[in-house]
Amino acid sequence: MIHTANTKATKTKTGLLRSPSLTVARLTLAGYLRSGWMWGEFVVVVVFLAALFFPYLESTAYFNGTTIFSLGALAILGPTIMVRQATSARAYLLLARLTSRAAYSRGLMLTAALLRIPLYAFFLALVLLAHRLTDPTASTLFWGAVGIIPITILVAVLTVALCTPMATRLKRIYFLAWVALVLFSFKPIFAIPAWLETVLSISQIPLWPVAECYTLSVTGNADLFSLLGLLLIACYCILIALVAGYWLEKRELLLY
Amino acid sequence: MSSANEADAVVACTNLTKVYEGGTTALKDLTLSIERGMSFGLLGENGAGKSTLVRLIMGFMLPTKGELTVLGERKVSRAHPRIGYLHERPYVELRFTGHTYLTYMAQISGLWGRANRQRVGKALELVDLSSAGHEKLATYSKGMLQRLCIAQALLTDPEFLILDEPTSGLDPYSQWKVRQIIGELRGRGKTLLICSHYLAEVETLCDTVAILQRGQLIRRGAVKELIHTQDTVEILLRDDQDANEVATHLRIDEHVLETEDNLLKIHAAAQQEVLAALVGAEVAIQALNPLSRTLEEVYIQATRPETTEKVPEGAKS
Repeated sequence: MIHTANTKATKTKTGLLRSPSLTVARLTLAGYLRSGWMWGEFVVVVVFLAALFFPYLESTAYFNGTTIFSLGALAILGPTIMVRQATSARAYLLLARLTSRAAYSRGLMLTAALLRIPLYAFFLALVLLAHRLTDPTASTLFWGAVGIIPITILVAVLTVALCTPMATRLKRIYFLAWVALVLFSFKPIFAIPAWLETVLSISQIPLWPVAECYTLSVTGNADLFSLLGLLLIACYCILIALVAGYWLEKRELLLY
Repeated sequence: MSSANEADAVVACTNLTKVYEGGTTALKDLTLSIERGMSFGLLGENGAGKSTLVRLIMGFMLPTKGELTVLGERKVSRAHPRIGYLHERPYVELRFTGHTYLTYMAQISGLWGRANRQRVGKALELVDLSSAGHEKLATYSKGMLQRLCIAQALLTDPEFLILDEPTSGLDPYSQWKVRQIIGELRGRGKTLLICSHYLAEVETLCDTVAILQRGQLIRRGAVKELIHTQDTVEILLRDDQDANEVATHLRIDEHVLETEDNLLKIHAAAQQEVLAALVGAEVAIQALNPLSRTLEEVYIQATRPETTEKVPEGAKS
């Protein structure tokens, strides 16, 4: 009985490791690595170190807070280049082997997401090796990582989902309109009635889990809300992967 | 189409129409079937709809109207594991070696471990790339890349192969090699769909052809039947006779397509009448040959009928 259960578990594990999505992810990563662009992301991290931590020493809270924005920006730039490379006409031969195009988009997302972890680790290692933090403790760095990595993963996954051929131009416009609305609701650039401000603040609701993770990384205080935020970010990632897969299935593919 | 035929058809499309976003109609009410074991040539000028049809068959695009089933699947991507696809251009990841690239492709198709190694090795061997397998693809010639792409199409030993422009832009050796491979696949009973502009190649490699023009099917048939349509007959008169003079004298010039010395080319339909006139006038006939056409002539006649009122010079007996 136990033997059967073990065999089943091994088979499931093997099945997961051999899934088309994971193979696409490995292939994409290998291509991205060999193209040199992946190393470019690491170089940008070095630039962040130079720009944000020299000449002054900074606190761990500062590191965690700025890293969300700097690695978040990199989570837009890197995956955009990666997807552009991976969805050229070369993808036809790959897609011709898959029974579902969603496996392809999932593979791209997996690569983009997993790459955020070594990038964060590299940034942290650089900062620590250069002794740029005034108060590094295991606890603040740990909770910082727990807050930062999911946010950058979410940004990377969202970026992949919004790239061509997954999303159409119209979908990207809708998304950017929402971003503009959120920014406006945070800080209106012209006076608006209070009731309208309240209505517009509804657009901020989807960002609540991100805000919780941000707070967790900066303060290092984990509570039920921050854990719920982490859980919701995981749900966001899964949902985005499903939606992007559905979009790609329905798209007409004209790759160049 | 009957259900029995549909079950036997590798590709079956009925009233297939594809209109692009800009309003261009790439395919219009196309009804076509490719039966199992067939080596099917798809001909047509640029913009005739060949590539669109291939993209629809591969599921890269969705039809605007009509029905399409590939290997019995309406959702054509479900048939992908049973299809080998060669894109019209050898787009591959040039930073990999041939072996690494094929290994990844085989893994995506679910081939792992020993099966993977065996299939990759066999595919490289089949396309004569075993020795170059560990070289980077960036160092491959165009012919080698094309052969590698054929190798990736053959990895899963698919029952249906779609070869879009398999020899386009290749040097003579590579063209020959690719044709040898395709010939071998045909011999193994694989169903082939070959899109090509090289008509002589299609004539050699395919048993059935379809000609598309502006998104519509204008001709379809077995290659043998198409090229052996005997619509021209060649009559060889005695050496000292002038065919032109004989035709004028016997008033049979209306049936004559061409004359050259003692050679008379006539419409096959008028064969009886012309022969009766020649025999009646006691004109000696050395030989009577029905002419067969090349696929090129069939193609030109189908797509440009106005240019083929006369049999072209290249007609062979």
